[in-house]
Amino acid sequence: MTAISTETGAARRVEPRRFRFDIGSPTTTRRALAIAAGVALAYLWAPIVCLILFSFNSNSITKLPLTGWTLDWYAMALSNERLMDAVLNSLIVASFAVVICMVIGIPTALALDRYDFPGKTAFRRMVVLPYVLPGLITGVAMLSFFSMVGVQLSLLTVIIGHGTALTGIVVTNVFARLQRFDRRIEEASADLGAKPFQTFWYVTFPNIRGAVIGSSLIAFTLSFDEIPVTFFLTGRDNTLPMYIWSTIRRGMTPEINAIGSIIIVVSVVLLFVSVFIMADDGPNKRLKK
Amino acid sequence: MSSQRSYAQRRRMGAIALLSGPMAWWGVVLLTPYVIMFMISFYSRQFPLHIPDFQFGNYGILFTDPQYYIVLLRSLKIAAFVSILAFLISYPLTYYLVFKVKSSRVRLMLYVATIIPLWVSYLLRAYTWKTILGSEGILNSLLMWIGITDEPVTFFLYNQTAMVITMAYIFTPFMVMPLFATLEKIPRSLIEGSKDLGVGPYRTFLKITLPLSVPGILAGFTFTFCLAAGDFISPILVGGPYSNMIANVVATQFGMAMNWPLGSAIAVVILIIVVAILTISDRFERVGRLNLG
Amino acid sequence: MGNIIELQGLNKSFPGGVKAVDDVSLTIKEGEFLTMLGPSGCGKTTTLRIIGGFEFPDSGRVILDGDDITDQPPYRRPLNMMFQDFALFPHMTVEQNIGYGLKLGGSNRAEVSEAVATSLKTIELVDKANNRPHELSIGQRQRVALARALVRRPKVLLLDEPMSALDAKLRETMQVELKHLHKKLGLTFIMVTHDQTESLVMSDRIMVMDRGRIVQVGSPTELYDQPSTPYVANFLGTSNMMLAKVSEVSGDTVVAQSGSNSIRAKGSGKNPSVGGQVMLSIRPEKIRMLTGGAAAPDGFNVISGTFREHFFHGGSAQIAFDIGGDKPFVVHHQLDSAAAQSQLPAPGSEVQLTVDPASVTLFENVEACEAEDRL
Repeated sequence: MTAISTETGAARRVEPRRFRFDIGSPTTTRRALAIAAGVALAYLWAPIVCLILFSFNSNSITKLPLTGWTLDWYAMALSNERLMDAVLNSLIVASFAVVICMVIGIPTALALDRYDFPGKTAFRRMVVLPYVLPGLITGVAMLSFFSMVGVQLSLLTVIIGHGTALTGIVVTNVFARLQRFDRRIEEASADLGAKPFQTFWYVTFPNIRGAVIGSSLIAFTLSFDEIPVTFFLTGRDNTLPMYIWSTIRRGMTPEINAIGSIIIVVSVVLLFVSVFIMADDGPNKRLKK
Repeated sequence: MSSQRSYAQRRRMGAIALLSGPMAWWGVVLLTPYVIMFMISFYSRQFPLHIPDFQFGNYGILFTDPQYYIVLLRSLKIAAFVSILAFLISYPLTYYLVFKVKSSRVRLMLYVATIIPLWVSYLLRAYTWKTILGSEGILNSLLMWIGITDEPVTFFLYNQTAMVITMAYIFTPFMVMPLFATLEKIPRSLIEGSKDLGVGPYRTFLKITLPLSVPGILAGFTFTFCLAAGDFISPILVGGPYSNMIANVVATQFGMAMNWPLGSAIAVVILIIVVAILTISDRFERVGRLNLG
Repeated sequence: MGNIIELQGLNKSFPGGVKAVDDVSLTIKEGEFLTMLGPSGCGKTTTLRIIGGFEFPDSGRVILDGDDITDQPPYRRPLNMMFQDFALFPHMTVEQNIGYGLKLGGSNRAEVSEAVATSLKTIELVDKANNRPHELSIGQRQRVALARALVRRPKVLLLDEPMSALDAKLRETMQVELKHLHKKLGLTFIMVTHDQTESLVMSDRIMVMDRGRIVQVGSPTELYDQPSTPYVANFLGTSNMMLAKVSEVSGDTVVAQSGSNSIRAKGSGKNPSVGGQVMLSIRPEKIRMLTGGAAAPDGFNVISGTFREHFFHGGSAQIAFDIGGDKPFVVHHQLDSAAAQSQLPAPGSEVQLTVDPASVTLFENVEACEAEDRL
């Protein structure tokens, strides 16, 4: 801050008033924060790193120090029939659930973005509710529903459960993308002769594609790991998390480490990809002035 | 006039066409189950089944039997601790990401690195904490290896502390996401303006940044609290004898105890608590948003 | 050349009670360049959007070439719009943008590429055919938007503030180019703008709007020289506005007192009563300074003014005088010679100003507060 002294006409420098706790320079703060951030990140990734490390450990008990490197656990995991069945089931469930998410989620997001109708706020809350509500409750409610209607628990019920719980993700992401969307290019499209569905297909959809694909990938990954809803809706066929859950109750087998590592690595890759698909607006870069 | 009618008509038809599918789906798949669950909460139990009825007995049990309401209160308490711990971990991290990382590419990558663990196998991550904290686990063997202790330390695992640590770990990304979004939106010019007026960095933080980040903090707390309150995995994996949470109770009612009415009643209560929290925080968030102008 | 568009009693209100368009009726001649002019919020854009089909009026009709198109959605109307920020499809190339309408209209691929190629040649962007909009400069984007709107040969071209995104130099160039294009194509152009210079330069007719209503429609010259209200007088160009009281009326000459000044207005076509309140409007460029003891021409008004300050505009100067009111009296002084330069008054000096009574515009029935308010 500078103050100009009117008498001499010269500028005098005034120091900012120092607060009692202003210790150190901005660099110190920055370093302290960086350390805190580093610790937090380490905290977040430590178990994952540990898991992957121990999947290669030749000692079947997870204990330091590491004894040796082996791929035995991976071999065991891949040859475990029940485990592989569970993986297949999870793939089936995830795929169909994602389809439901897209088919229901995109029109829902469009409707919320464009139209005002009675009960809109309630509808909006309801759609997002399974996302925030402990999965337990959705699971319990759907179980009651299926039993009252007389539907037997099976992969189908699991698929429906996942569809319900995960559509909120697609809706919120597509809705957010629609909100940032410049409505005028749709008007331009209509002006040039495109009927409403043509405008959607040629103009709107290409611009929300990133959000659709990205959020679908996230939904897919989440379906793979879904436990609370699945817990209540599983019939005879287990999904992977259910299999792991039952195995873990009895004690950790190193096979779980192995299959877990594979799942984690695949999930991380899929998620990275999806986030970058959504963040990168692609041909939609803000028109630079 | 006819032009308005046909235009409005056309719009309405479009809206109906668009909404009919999703509405039907949501109605059948979401609304109906919740309603049914609500209905069953009033049924009476006749072991091993339940019969249609309308009585508040189940709710009565929940609120009068210590076996149940203590668990409910414990769950809320633990959820609160989890939220606070998650907050303490998340805020410095997010603050650093938003304000101290200059390159937006790096920032995005670090942000993604923070968020992704959220979506990677809760179960496996929670389990790995068990192996880390256990008496045969990594932390102990590390301590023994270094020579700090001779015997395994048992207080890390199978108690409420372990649950809080594990859950805070699992739910931290839920705190980071809204915080990040809110902090990013704070106009830098406000902070620079404050410093320009002679206010030092800490005071600027307390008076400008922190208050403006409240909507994000609130949203983060809401998510974390609600999800932690309803968690049933951590108690089983890393909890001890007094770690049962309300979600486990519900699971048991639908499992071995075969008491669906009671389970539904408890679930309904949880639902109401969550919706209440959401509504309240929604109102606050709206006010917060006004302040950001 | 008949009438191509007829607007009949259009009304539109928005939620919140804002009446954007208030009983707007207008006939637009085929082939003319009509500008809708006014400040933001006056309803000009809404009116344009109603013509284009992006808004629907609460009442009233839009007739295009004899057909009632009021209820038609935009894709069924044979007109095209050039949007304010161009609204180019960001995910398509220039070529795809221009060809979009033709492709959807059912033309086969050969026809489309031929039309697009011709179009690209006309706007001189052949080498940018495969670029995306964000890779082009603003001027280039505007040309693409124009080409896209024209390639389908619409009957009418609507332009929504087409120059607002351009900088001053580019704007001037585009104004001329658009005028040439209009002449060459012979289409009807309807443009919306808040820039009065633009409207004066480009239009055949101007429609001035205020708070949803049409205030005056006419050629640029008509609106400039014979504004029907003080609002129009002050919106197009600048004007010295003075409240005055009528002291004498004889034939087509009206004498009114404004403060200590007695001013004659001739040929206004108005017949106010003696003692009534009027508003006088005198344009700065119509006022001359009497220098070197010269006398005013016969019958001309002479006003005494004290020099206050002047603003240099390069080729001219705006000189502000104090003539006894609370607002400065501005005179436009062309600096077309060294002599003109030397005629700039000295600070504080008294100067005689003269103006032809025929150049004084008179407005009757003006409420004092309204006048102050709008100016």
